[in-house]
Amino acid sequence: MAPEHALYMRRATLVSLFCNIILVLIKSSALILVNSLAIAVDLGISFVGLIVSVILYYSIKLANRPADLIHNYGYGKIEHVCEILEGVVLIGIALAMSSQAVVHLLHPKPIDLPLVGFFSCTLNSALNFGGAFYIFKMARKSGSPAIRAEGIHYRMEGIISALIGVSFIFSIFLQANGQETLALHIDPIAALLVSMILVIPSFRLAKASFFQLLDASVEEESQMEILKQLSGHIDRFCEFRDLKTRTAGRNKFVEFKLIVPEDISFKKGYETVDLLEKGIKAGIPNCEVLVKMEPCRKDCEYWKKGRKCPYL
Amino acid sequence: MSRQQIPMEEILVPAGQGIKTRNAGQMRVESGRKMKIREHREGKDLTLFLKGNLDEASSPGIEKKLDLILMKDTDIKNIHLDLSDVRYLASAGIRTLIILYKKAIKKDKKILIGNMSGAAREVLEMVGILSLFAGAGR
Repeated sequence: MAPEHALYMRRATLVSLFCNIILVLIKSSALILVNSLAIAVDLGISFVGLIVSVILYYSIKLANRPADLIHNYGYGKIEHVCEILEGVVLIGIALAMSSQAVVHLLHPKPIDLPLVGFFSCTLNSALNFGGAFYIFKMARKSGSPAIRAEGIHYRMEGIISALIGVSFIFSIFLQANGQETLALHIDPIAALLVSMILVIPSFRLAKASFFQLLDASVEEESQMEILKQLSGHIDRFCEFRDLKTRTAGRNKFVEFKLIVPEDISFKKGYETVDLLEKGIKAGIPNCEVLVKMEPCRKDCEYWKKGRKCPYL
Repeated sequence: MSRQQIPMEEILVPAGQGIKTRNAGQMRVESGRKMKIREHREGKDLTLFLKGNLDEASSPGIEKKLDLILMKDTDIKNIHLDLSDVRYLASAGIRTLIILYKKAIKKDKKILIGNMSGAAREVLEMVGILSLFAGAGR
């Protein structure tokens, strides 16, 4: 992996870690002052985020290790494990908080200092969106799926904090208009809404990462690139077979068999393989290509009719 | 014979029920999960009208069908693919087309694409294989 990619990933994880520490501190203080269930959900998300940031920091270090004798294809899959962990834990928090929200809806409790809650959420939201912007930038530069997932998490947190902030304003408005009973229900409703918002993207993240762990093939764009390269040199081989691709973190693996005329010189055959390998690597970043050359079986019409092979 | 003159017969098979065929004079109709195929033979030419998505789900069935024709059907020399009703052409579909093109050369036959939808043309041009299948519209 290029050294600058490792640097971008390290920067992203450090920013994520630092921001998460600040967010946990702000939200913990706000929870003590305001006594809001919605802020408790938000704190839970940030707390998980903090733990995941720490795990991510060490995972990235491991993912950047080169392939060795124990892991011949490298350690890239650790990034998918991190994403699954994040998704599953967030779903757990959402479900736990939803049940608490239902209890609070049935037995609502007043919140203290909603204005403090609003300002805390505004600050959290700004920090989350700012962090997400930077992390996405680093994810684009490094091509890391785990860093990208972290950016998505940060953006989601920003939206959640903003929604909770709006709920506080709404609560203040209702209280100011004499609707104290209705205002009591705003906090658990906000907590329930936040939990529902949390579940869907967390489930999608965990699901996508799970399938990547099962050696899913590369994405459509890369598949097209491989086919483009094959079609670009289509007059140099008889056929290709067993095209297989897979992804491990940022790394992609492509392999296929290339059937060439039995009488082709080793040099010419190797040239074709080399052209294809270089072309595919140039078109797909972080890609390892393995092309196995096989001789034809002389079962084509050219051979049967004694005509010259067009690929020699 | 233009496509409009061919008697239109289609069988839609619900997902999971495999491929069914029915003979109707010169017409054979088969349907897979997301792809409908109509077949028309005229001398040494076979025209296959594909309708639907040519993707991971339908490509194996198309490849198997055309493979059988290329390997076993000695009467057919030219296979014309009509892709004017193909809504989506994925990389799996492109892979199938390239594989079949190579197999056709091996058997001294031709696979040609006459009519194609805008979506199919765009993908074929992007991959750079449109000229391989150049054929007159039928």
